[in-house]
Amino acid sequence: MTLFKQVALTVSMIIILMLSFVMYINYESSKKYLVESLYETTVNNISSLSNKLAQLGEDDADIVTIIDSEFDGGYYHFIKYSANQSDFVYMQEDNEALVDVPLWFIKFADIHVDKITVDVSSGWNIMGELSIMGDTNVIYQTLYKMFIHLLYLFVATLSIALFILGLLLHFVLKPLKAVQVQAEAILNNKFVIQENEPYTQEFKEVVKGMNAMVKKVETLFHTANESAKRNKELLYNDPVTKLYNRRYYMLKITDLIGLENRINGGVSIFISLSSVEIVTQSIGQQKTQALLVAFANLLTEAAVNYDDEVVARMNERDFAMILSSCDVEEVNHILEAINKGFLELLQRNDINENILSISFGVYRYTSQVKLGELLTRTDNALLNAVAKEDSNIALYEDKNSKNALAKDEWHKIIQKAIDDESFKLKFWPTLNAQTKVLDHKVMTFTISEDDKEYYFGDFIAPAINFGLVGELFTSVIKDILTNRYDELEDVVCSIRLSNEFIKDVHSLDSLSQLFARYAKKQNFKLFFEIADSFVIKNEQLVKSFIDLFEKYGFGFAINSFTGESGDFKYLKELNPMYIKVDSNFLLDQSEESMSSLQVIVDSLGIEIVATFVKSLDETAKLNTKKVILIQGPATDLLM
Amino acid sequence: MKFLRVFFLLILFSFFGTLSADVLVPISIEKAAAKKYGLSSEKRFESINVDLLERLKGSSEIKKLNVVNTWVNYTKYKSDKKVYGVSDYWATIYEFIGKNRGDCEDYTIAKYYILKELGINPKRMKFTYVVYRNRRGKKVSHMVLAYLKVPKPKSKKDILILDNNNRLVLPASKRPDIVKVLKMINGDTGPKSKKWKKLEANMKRKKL
Repeated sequence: MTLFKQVALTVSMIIILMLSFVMYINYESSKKYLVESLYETTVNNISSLSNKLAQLGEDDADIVTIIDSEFDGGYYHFIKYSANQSDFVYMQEDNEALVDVPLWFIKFADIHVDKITVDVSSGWNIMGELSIMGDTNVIYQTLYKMFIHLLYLFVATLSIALFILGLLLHFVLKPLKAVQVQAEAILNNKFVIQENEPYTQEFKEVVKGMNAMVKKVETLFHTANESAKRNKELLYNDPVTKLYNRRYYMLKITDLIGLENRINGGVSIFISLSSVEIVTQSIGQQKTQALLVAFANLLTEAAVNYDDEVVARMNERDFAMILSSCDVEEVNHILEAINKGFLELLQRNDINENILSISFGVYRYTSQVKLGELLTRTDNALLNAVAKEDSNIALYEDKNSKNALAKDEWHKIIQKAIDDESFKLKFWPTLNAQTKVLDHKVMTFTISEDDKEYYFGDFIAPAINFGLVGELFTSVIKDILTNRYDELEDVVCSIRLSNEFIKDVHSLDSLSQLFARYAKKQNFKLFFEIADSFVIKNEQLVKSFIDLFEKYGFGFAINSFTGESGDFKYLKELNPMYIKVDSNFLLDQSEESMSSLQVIVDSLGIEIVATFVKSLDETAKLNTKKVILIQGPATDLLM
Repeated sequence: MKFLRVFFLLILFSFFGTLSADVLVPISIEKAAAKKYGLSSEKRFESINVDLLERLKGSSEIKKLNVVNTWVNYTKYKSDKKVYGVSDYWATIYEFIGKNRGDCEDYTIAKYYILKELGINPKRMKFTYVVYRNRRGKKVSHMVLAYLKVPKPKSKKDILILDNNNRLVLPASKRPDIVKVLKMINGDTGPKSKKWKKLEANMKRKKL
């Protein structure tokens, strides 16, 4: 219950109690006054009537007449006269039921007045006895009217009081609302500074404290971010060209070749410049470096259209590029452009192309290729290119033999799985390496057809090519939202969304419709993961997906994190629950860069999950780097 | 504006319509009496309207007093105990004429309302508690309607008595059978006792 409700309830109760008390006192005092008044009036009347009777004497007709006239002219319950000298008794009585007063009120008020009795005496002669009881009807009617008026007054006063109380509390507690908003933002790891300080002293202190805390954390984040940037540059960037270095290339390459795309792979390019040392001697260190920077820009521009790429300088004269989703036809155009640009550079620097030549070794890989194979084949292609006399480009193309089905067959299989919603969902654990407790489960899916099981890597490329990736993911997400999986009970489940799915213009709408229809309360928590490189380049698009996830209570996380951006402000903006990082990347980090990364994620409340953890030894090393959540083959060894 | 004028006129008509409908004996009472007490009862109410209220409209006060007294006195005397089962009850004119019976108070009440309807000043009509000596010489408690010929009467001659025991309207001076006058009270123009309040409420809802 909010403080507003608690205060409102308490004060309302106090007001109700006070008003009730006032009403009770008012009612009781009025009742007492009315009964007292009736008693006094009756005493006056009996005195007057007894005098009249005494004057009239003992004539029965006279007595009857005077009692009748008195009774008819006043408010009495009864008047009774009993003669002493005879058995004459006369009584006028009104036993009619009360009108205008409900029975419950009569029972509630329960008014009693006593009869008053006096002797009627004329001289020394006591003629008889006169008894009068006043009429309580008047008291009931008066009290009932008063009670109703008090009730109206009570309701009116209470309504006004509660209205004023509401306004007052709203006004007084307004700063608290701002404090609450700030507190919620802090809980969500957002750096919100409250500019308007509340006038209430206590709230002012709280806001000041929270602002100071937020500023400290923000400063910590920025310091760590700058430090991480510097470390990354030192660790992973070539000091001359600012391209990535060999170390980064080797870390990133595994992620890149495994990426799903429409062509199920991409191209790996090794570029070699001959005689860089001679050029240095000829034009000097400075000009050579400028030439290399210009050449690096050429390479970067050539790769600019590709979301998943790496351009690296491997050593003094060798460069490497990985362009995921780039096919053979496209790579030829790219290499021509680089070649042309390179020749122009030579001309500008007045360098003979025989002194500084360029060779390209290209390998068209599929996503199933192993890292060693990729490096060897690209290297072989480069050797061929260097040896070739007619061209400086050599291409080695890998044909996908596994699951090499015809296009029509793939289409049929994928469409059938979508139509029948027959994907087979599989769940892999992510563990806390220290407690061995499950942190979350990662969902993947396969298609079973004719006793053969097709893995995600097999059918994702055809699905992208046929434009079925949207339907494919929608179907799988619908499956997990609508079907009950026992292994998901009370756990967190994550789904990695393909970059191609996020890029699809219809995906946001179809997910929105899907969530609106099926995102009822689940017995598990669902997280959606998006690749880091995609997030960096498509922050706004990803933000719209995150907003949709938040709206329906789903979580968001980043996978394949490589710190590619260098600037981690996007983590602050997007606030993922965790980031998944290749264990090799984590183990490769220096103590300083790991520390910066830890500060960044800690200040944002983000957890690090190490992926592809292969052994217990690796797990132990990760633990020393304070990474305790692990995913990969090592989880089997821990369980 | 036109709408407001029509609305105002409607309110005015309904107001005066209500007033005009609030006559002593409306047609509805005649019908209800016929249903409850029979045709003779309806005739009596009709007679109040025709023979008393219409016919005496322009007559002198004395004539009004006499005719009304005589007309009302045709009603049969019966004690409250026998008619209503209680020792004392003030009946409305509708109950009294409808049932065609009542005691001295009921006669007085009926005469009072008819005369008031005929334009007799109600402040001159007094409900009077008297001790009356009947034909057998026994003194009994009784009520009559006294009419003050002048606002401040100086002698018994100035007070006319309308009594159910006497078909004539006589000055108090000529009523030796009224041996004692104990109290005179105003009708509905005086202070409202409990009895009066009840009677007024019953008159208002035309209790039959």
